[in-house]
Amino acid sequence: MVIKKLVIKNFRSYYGEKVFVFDEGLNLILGANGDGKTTFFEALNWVLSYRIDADEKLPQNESLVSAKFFKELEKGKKGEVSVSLEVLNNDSRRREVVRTLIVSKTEDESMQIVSLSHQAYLLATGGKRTQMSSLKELFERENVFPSMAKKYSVFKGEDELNIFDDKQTLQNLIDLYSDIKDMGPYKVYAEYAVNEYRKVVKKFQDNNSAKSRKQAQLQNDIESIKRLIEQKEGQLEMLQDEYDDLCGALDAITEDMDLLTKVNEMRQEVVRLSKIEENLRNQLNENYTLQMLDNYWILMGFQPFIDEYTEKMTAFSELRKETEKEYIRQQTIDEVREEVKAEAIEEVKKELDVLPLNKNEESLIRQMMNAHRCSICGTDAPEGSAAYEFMKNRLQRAMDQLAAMQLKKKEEEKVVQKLDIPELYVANNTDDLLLKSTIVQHNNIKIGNMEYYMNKQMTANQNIHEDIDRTVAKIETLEADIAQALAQSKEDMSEYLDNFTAINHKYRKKESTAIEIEELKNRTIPSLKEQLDHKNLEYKKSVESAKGSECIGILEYLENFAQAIANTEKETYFEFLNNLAKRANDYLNVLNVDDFTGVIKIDRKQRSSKEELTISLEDRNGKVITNPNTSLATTMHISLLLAISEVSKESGKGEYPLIFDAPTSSFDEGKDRGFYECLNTQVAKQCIVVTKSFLYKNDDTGEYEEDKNALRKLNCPVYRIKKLTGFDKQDITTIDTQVKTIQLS
Amino acid sequence: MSKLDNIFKKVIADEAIAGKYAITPDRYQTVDQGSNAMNPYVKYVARALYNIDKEVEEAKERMRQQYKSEAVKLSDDQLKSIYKVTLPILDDLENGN
Repeated sequence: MVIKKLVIKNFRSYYGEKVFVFDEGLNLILGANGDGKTTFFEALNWVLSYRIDADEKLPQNESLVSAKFFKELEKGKKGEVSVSLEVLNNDSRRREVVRTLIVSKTEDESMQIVSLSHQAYLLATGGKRTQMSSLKELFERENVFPSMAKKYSVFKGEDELNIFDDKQTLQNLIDLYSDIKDMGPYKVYAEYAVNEYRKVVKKFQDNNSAKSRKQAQLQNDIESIKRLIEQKEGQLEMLQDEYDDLCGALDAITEDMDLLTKVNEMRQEVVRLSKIEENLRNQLNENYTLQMLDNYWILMGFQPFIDEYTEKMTAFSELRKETEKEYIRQQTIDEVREEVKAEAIEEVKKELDVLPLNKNEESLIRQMMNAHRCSICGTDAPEGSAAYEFMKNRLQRAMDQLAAMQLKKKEEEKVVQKLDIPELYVANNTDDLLLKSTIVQHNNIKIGNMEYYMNKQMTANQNIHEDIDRTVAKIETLEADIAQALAQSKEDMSEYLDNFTAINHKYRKKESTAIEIEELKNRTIPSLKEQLDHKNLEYKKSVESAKGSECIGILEYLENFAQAIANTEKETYFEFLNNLAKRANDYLNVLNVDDFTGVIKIDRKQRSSKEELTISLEDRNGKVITNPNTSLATTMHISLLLAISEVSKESGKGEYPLIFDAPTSSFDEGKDRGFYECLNTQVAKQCIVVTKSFLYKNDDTGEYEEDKNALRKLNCPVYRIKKLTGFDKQDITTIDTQVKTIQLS
Repeated sequence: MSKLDNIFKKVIADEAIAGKYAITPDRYQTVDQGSNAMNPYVKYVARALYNIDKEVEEAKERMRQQYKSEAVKLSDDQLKSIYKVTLPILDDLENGN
């Protein structure tokens, strides 16, 4: 189907009759913002909309009328607003569809809708026009923009191009254009035939009671295994859903998980090493200056002086001690001795009478002396006599003896008393100096160790510095490795790394789910199915022996026929998807003017008991491009749309053009032109594109002008729509969109 | 080659038929050829598909007249009718021929 001509009359900003004639390839309608591009699109949409879908928003009729036209309409007169579309249908026959609104202006200058019509016509050569029985005849029977196809052929803006956001779209396309739907009745019949023939077999079974019990048991076993299979398949489905959800959550990073894990380990190692570095720095003690001052290091050069000082102080101290000793000795012995002696003699003399010792002897001697007679020998002893002198000497000896004893005793007492002799050196300077000497000497030992200590400290610091340097080097190497590793990934990993624990948990869960799925899919369920096959075989043999192999042979054949139909349906399905993907990729390769192209992949996924089709863009290594740039995404969507249109043509559902409103608004300047050049030269498909590409602003006039040089490269019809200059911005009735033919093909 | 011929070729070439009943699929290019085959397995496939297709196309035509385009569903009567017409092709198997 090809659109030949569009005539817009008094429709919104299109005052009067504006005509567009289209070619079978690319057709461009150029317009700047506000020039009527969207109105062109709306006019086309209006004439093609014959059934109001729930999601189709059409403007109110009154708003469709050109304000300028209505202003000029005389009171009481009628006027026409219409959009007419001439097409070649899929059999290359000319058809026309016209949607008309008749309005009138009342006396009070208000608008009245007089009539509405929407008609399809057969156009014969010579201009004869015959009305068709209904719009449906054109749209549905002749497949000229049927409502379903219109969804995949008319697009407003880039956002609408991604029709595959709706998960049902691809399934609709398959239903529309593939032979899958046609397989339905074959499948239904094949199953019907199997069930019918089973009834025949069962009749034979019923007639064979001998086998019935065993068969009943086998039937029970078969049913149990079937239930178990269903249960396991349900479990598998749940796990598959869970797995898909996890895949969805991890989609962007699945490829990078190993990298992510490695980077995370490296980051943890960096944290560990940083702590080590911090600890090492804390161990550093480099406050040498103060520390050395604290430790008398300054005294290190004064060792000889200190030794001399100590020596002198020791000598002084000893001298002092000797002096003191002598002093005390003199005080306590010589001095005291004389004093004590005199005192003692006196005291002895006084005390002689009372001395208990030799009292009797003394008294006796005194009595004898006083009596001048020795009572012992009875000899007279006058004074001067030998006897008297003897007694006198005897008394003297006794007294001396006593005195000596007393003197000794007194001396001892005096010495004890004289211990309180005042000190010779009251100020204790020598002691203080000696103490200082001792302290200095003690410190001297420390000073002696100072060098050792300093060396030890500096060596320790040096070792710590080396450890720190090694640790820092390791950290830097790790950070460089991390940066390099992150640079390998196209994704921004920082967010994932921050949530690594949660992601890692999901990732592990995904892996364990995959193992469970694998177990169920490849072992448990196949094993159960094997058991089922075995029981079925046993059952068939049992039935066979009861009924006969011919009957079983037919049942087997019918079952195989049903299986072949099911397999054919699957094969057809995959053929369609592969064909669609292949064609879309062919277009993508041609249209994409980026360096990176990618490969469009169409996959089936089983989700919650129904199959879901997904479309993605992958690189050659199978890595999904999660966020392709807008122009690449747009090119991918247009490629898919062209592919769909092609399969539509092949399926006999008819061909239809693609109509786009501003599909390349996100493209960089120049890139859009390249895209249209490819579309013009590489794609044999009618495309009508409303765009502001190929327009540039003339700095002198401030007006948008066409880049005619660039347009000449395109061998296609180009129209320029532009508001008539001089309109009043405040008055809608002055708006008039002009249509100018820039070039024809 | 029609869509029906394509389906026929795929079905007889499937492992469940060609593999188990020693059929050489290349010998049969169309439903018409299959319908006249001596091999009952091939003949059954061709006749069954032909009869189903005939019913479906008639139903589609009826829907087209009513501007409907939904999927065709065969009734039990239609299925039974096809079953009765096609099953006798397999009688030879039952009779051990």
